[in-house]
Amino acid sequence: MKNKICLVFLILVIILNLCSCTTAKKSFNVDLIVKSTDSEFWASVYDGAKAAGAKYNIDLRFLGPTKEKDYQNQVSIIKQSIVRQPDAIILAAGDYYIMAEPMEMAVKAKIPVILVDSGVNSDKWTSFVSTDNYKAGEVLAQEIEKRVGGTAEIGVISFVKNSLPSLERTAGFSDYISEKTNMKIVETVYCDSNIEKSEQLTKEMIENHPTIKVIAGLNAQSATGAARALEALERSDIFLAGIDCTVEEADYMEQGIIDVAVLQNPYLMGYFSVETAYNVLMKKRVERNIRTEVYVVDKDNMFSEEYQRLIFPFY
Amino acid sequence: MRGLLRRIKATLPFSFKWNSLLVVMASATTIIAVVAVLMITYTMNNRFNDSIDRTTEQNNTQIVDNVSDSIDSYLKEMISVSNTISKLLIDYDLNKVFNIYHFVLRDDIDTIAVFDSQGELVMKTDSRLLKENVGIKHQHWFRSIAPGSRMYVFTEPHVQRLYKGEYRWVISLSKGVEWTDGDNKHQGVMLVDLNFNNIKELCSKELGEKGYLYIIDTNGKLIYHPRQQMIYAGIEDKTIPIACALEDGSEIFIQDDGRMLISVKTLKNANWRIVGVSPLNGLLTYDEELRNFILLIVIGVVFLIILLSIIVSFFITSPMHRLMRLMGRVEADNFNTFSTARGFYEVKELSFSFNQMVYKIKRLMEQILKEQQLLRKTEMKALQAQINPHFLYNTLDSIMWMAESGDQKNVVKMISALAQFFRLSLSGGYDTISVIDELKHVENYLVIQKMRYNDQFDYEITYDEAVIKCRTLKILLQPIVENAIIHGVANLPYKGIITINAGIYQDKLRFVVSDNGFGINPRILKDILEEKPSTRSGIGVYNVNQRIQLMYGTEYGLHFDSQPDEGTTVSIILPLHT
Repeated sequence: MKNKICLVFLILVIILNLCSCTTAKKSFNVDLIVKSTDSEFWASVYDGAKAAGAKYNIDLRFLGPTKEKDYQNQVSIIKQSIVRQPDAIILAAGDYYIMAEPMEMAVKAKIPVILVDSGVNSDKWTSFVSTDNYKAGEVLAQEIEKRVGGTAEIGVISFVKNSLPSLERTAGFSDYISEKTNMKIVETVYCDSNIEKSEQLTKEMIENHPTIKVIAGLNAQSATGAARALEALERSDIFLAGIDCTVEEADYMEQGIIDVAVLQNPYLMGYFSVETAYNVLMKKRVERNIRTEVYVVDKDNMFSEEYQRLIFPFY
Repeated sequence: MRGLLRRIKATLPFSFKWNSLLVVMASATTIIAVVAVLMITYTMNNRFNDSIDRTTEQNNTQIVDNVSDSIDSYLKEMISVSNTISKLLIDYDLNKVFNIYHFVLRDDIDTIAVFDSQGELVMKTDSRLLKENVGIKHQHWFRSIAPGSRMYVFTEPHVQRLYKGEYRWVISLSKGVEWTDGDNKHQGVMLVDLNFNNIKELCSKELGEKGYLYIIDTNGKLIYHPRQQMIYAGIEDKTIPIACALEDGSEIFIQDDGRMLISVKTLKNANWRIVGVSPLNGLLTYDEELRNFILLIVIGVVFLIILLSIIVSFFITSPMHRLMRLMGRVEADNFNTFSTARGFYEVKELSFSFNQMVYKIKRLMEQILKEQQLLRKTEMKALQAQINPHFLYNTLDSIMWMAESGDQKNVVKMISALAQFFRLSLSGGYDTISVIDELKHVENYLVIQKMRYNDQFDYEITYDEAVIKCRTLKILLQPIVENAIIHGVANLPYKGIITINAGIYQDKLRFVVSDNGFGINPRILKDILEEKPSTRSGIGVYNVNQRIQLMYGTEYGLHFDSQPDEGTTVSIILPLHT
């Protein structure tokens, strides 16, 4: 009889639990930690994240160092975030190696980590939403081969040395150039995602290698800096290819200074990362790697219905 | 009250069986009540949802109508702006246009400009410079209307690139215009670029809690959506294709994330359609408190019912349990049981009937007992009566022969023995006689038979002095001895001996009758006492056994022990009565 009373109470408790489960519409707290809060690219990621957050009832916090080169600060930002115990962390790692440890700390604190755009040297993360960066590098190289070709000398302006996209794009780009073309990479420099530095480096590069025919900027800041340098030097004859296309770059592209750009879809990355976080929190199965597409734009197609939507943010 | 609780508690643990009245009642009423509550809830919910649906539909239709009216009038305003300018242009008085028109100050108009048919700028209402190589001729808004046609068209949203470094999303109103410059007639296109400030505001009307408004054109192309950037990035709004296929009006659709009400209204001044989408969540998803409340009621009702059923079933079952216990006593042959159960009418009736029944059973039992005794007596009498006639006839026959042969001495002896025999047989009508009388009785019989059989056998009667006063059924030994004579010693080639002994064996009275005759065939011996035999002497033995067992029970009776050609020993076991 005692057992039966216990059973009845157990059932009651379960029912009440179920009630509270079904009734309380859960709202999750998710921290979105990006590489830089002061960039068009990350603003777009944040926009996408916000859209998904609104749909899935997620409170987002947008965190990160102001400048991308201050990736060291990201470590303490991650640690602070762990202290606040969000339901999940979405991280764009500024450095492939340095961010591995704080990321694993988060996982140890039972906070699932979803990586966006940039990975870390660890496999403890739950899901990774990114552009296929190796492919982006390859596509860029392919476009250069198609549009310039021959034995052109190429200068590469990469961004942050140890961030995964930088590593992958550089690899994808140089692998394609060396294996499938007769072109040659004469120098690879790192601008730390700083436009001024990139401009400076481009100028130096052109000075050091007067025969250079192609410059490849592997992210928005690299390409923008290079474009500024080419404009200043009035060297629009040098073929400039970039990855990403900001509004400023679009202007350069219209002027013919930037000749081709490989587009990512940062908005979609942001959206997918939050959607994935939601699925993880709702205990649904998620893909470990989620890749977003890349697109090739140039002066001719940049205002087409499809691409203008990706280049110019709608306010 | 406490006593009641204790009684309830006391009845519960023993009566808790899954098929007990308590469980059956509790579960039945619980199911009925829960089903009733759920059905009421369901019906209410449906009713309420229907009315919510209707209200939402009315609201949405109204809002969509309002918004489409405002947007219509907004577009009309823009068209009239372009009309005014084109009228002014006919006079080609640029200054006049400049001076009058202040709409550039409106923050929803980005640009008003007129281009000639080659795409060259003719006039502009602000002073911003167009950038070089702007390529007006190749732009979609310029190409979508014939210069000078006086027609107008609204383009889809696109990025306007007239100015350096500025890339704004606008909707272009292109209108074919004409003007004269002296004698020259010119044709061109007027551009009015509308940004989304006004449209956004007009479409920001609340449509329920999670509803929203957007604009598509009749080809299904998106004009404005509150989450335009999301759609541009590649995440579709699944309601758009549905809205495209809809006539003006409202309809309910079921989507992955629930039911949606979609209202559509086509504008008058452009091929645009205003679409209002609002989710129909229904009462229970809509109002969590209400859902909790209903759940609480259901749980409360269940508990109340269980409690009530326990109490009610207690009141029903406790007199029944008492009755059950009484019945148990009756089962155990205690007929002096009387039920005093109170409680419900039915239980009282049951109790009354029970008492009646027990009383009747008791009376019947007594009656049966009496009848049985009577029956036994009658039967005994009948059995005793069976002994006499043949024997008497045979004996008288022997006496007749003896008298005829003049053997007077033996006639006297025989008649004397016969007289004694019958006297003892009657023995005053009693069933029982003393052992010594029974032995005398059988001795008289033996005297008669020995004479009849010409001294073919001898007999010997011994007894324990302790048993002679004991009582025994009468005429037990005679049939056995008769049997021993007829089947045992009658035709022996040598002299037969019959011994009779009375004594105590294992606290019981025992007669032993033995002979040295032929013995009994084992086949016959096996069931000699089982069924009524057909021979007369057999009947005698059977009767003896029957009488003993009827009187004293089955533990008493006859026991045969016989070896062929050696003789038979019959033991008669009786209770030791004095």
